[in-house]
Amino acid sequence: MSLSSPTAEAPSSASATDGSPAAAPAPGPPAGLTPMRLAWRRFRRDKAGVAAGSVVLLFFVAGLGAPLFAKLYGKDPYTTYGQNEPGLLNDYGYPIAPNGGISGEYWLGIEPGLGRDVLTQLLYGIRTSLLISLAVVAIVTVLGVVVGVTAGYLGGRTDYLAGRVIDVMLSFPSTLFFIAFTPVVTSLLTSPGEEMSPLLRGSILVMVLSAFGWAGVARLLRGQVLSLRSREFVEAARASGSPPHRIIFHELLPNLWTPILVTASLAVPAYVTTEAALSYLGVGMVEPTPDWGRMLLKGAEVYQTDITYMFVPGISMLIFVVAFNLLGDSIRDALDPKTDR
Amino acid sequence: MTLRPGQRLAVMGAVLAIGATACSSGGGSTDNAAKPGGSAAPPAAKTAAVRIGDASDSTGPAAAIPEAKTGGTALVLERADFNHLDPARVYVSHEQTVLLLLSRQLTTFKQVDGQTVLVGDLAKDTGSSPDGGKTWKFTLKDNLKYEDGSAIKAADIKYGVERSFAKEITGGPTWIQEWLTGKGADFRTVYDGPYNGKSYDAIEAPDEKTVVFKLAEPRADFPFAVAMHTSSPVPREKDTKLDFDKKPFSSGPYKISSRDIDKGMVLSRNEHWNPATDAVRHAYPDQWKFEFGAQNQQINERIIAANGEDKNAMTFRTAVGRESAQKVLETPDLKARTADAFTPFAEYFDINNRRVTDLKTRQAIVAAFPKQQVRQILGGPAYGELSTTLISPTVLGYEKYDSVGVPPTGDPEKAKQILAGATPTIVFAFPQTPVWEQIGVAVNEALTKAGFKVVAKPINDKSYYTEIGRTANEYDLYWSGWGADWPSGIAVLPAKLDGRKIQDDGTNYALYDNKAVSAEMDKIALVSDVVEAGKQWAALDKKIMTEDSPVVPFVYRRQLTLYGPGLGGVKVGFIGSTYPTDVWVK
Repeated sequence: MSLSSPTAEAPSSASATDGSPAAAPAPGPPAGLTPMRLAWRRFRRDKAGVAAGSVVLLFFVAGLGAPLFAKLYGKDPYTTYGQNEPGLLNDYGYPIAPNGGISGEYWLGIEPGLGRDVLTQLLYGIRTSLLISLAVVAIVTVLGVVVGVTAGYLGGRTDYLAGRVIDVMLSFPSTLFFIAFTPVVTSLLTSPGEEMSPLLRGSILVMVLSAFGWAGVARLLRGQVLSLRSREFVEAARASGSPPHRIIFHELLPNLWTPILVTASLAVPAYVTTEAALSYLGVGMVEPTPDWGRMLLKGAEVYQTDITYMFVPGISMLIFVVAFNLLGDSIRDALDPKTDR
Repeated sequence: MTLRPGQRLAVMGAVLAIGATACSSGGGSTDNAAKPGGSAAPPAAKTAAVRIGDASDSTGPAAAIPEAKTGGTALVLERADFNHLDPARVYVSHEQTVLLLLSRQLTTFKQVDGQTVLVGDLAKDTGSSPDGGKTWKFTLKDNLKYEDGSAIKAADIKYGVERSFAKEITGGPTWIQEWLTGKGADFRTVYDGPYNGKSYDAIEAPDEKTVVFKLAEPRADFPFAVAMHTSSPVPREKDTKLDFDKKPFSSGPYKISSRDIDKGMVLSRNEHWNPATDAVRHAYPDQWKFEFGAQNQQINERIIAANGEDKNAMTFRTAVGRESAQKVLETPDLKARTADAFTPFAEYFDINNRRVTDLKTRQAIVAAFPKQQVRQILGGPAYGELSTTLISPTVLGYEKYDSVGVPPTGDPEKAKQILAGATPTIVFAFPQTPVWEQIGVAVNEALTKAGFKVVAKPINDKSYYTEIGRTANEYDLYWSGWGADWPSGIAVLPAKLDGRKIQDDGTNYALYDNKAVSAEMDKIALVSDVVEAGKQWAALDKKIMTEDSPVVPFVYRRQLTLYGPGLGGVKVGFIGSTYPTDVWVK
């Protein structure tokens, strides 16, 4: 999994945005359909996209509905079943039943050592990952759009300043920074006698990830705005005396939705893996908050004896990331028919 | 010697081992877990396993091992190079182990049928004291030689101990220095080493064969203390001061023939070592080769694979970790290639006695503590045997008792009764590693069930000992390990629980201070009969736990190590590492 700031790799084709304002005629559209409806129609025809979208939707439902499911299923991700009930774990702390302890009762087996239920851990883990990455993507996108559009539209000294700040942010060794910085923040915010709440820890993660993530989005949008700025429709708006905010919101932004949506949809899986990587390295979420990165870490440790435990989070994450990336691609194809295959 | 929390940084392989085998096969039958034994059953811990030998035990040569043969090259794989090789500076188990090949002491330990026997090494016996332990006299054996063929003289032992007083010579144990001067850790105020030309008159070498130590107070344990490497002989003209640490002048059966620091080392036979003078060392292989730099898991995987040279490989301290313990112990082929024994290390969960001042609360913690669950996370019985006492079965006089009488899983109901409705808050501190975070979960669950409010507090792994070693630390419960320098209560209880030794970075992590107990320790330290002293240490151990419950005894550590199929005679020795002294190449 790569730790590099995910938004740095913007979709190159996004620059091929349909340049004309909303009213411009797209190549042969049926009359009476808005571009969004058109995009939706194109998306529906893309089978891979629909499949990926359904998988992603399933992950969202599973993650957000995890507590409800856990209730129906009768297990929770915190109870150490294996330690409380004899017959589940052997002397070494490994599941006794084959395939990681998969049984009618524990559908995906039990965790070696503590003996917690793997399925609920996985579902609650999706929730942790998704909530964190969605929060990061929201913050990063808003910040990136604001800085990028401002820099690109105003140009001159503002653009120069913003550009240098973005350069610094992009060249910063962010992974090392996370590892070194997170424990410092943690100890600053909690006294030795108290425990840090998962919410606070999650917020720190979100903040640290956002602090670096916005730069990529900003750079991409700045480039977009620079090319749009000199287009006729913007010139015309300016000549007719539109105020800057009107130009930004009514002329520029509608043409920026495509790159924004595409980067955001590709950033979500990237941040899921980044968050998992941070937890894997010991600076992300800590016990007892369920987390995919830590599950993978444990999996790498026990794989010699209990490889199932490594497969479960590994395959889940693979499916999730592939599905989300395919969805991102499909969204781009749908919004930007020029790249249609 | 303290023990670092076993941190094993698992190297992340492919996230998805798609090409790997199918799913895992599970951990076996249910009865494996039901009965505590199973295939993971540890070797039985022997009580009264320590004896002081006499002159006949001390006479060489060491009894020949049937089938063993001389010759060949044995390979030792270690994670890191030896930090020290100067006998006055070693204190870590694998360094002490390699020095068994390179140096000899006044006394040493011999394993006879599972019993640890203290015998004379350079000395003819374990020493004698005419005045109840204040003066100790050792007579050297005949025909003792260094690597260059010169004779080992009593004056060299005197000089060897003297140089351990020098301020440059740091890192080694300080028992002998403290007992000679009677000044505790300030022994350098009395004598500060031979490098400015002074000699120390509390150590006498009246002739070539006799060395006499005049202690400040009677110490029955002195023969044990001189089994540590401080008593190794060093000829004055061969003392290279700090460079001695890189290439010591050997009095043992091997000498260093080449050394490439951090990469490797080769020991070749010291032709002048006379097996007839040595009751312990066999020295079967012609050569010992050391390789440094592989990670623990790599070392174990190399020994399991046993390709080429690795067929004759062993390791002094790399234990089989929890990630492969099951595989190793349940594969007969591999299990046959393991050395497995208890070590002098015992582990505890210390209660901060300065913060948790209420006895009932401490007793409730002891009653509720989930020892078995915690050990299961650390690897189960392969990790060690659950304990209820302060001193371990490897110690002279050890007696089993249980101050609370709860099952090893902890008894929340009993703890609740002891607490009688109170709900104290306990801050549980642990190193921030994946394994310890899981232990945090288990401890949290068990103590919460018993009515405690638990705050789980991860501490940076690197500064863990510094943090819990601060006398003003803000934690209530934390893990620590302790290994006895020799099998006697004096090497455990005073170090761990003497209130006068409370200091920052000290070893009394529980900050336990009971004047009566400290006085009792002083009294037992002066008992001239070590066997009687052993009984009294055991009684004091029980008294401390019953009356004050200052710590939660956790496990007596077990050492399980692998060795290659080309070696024989590999055993876990008294120090808790795998010993080279009986090893032979097949």
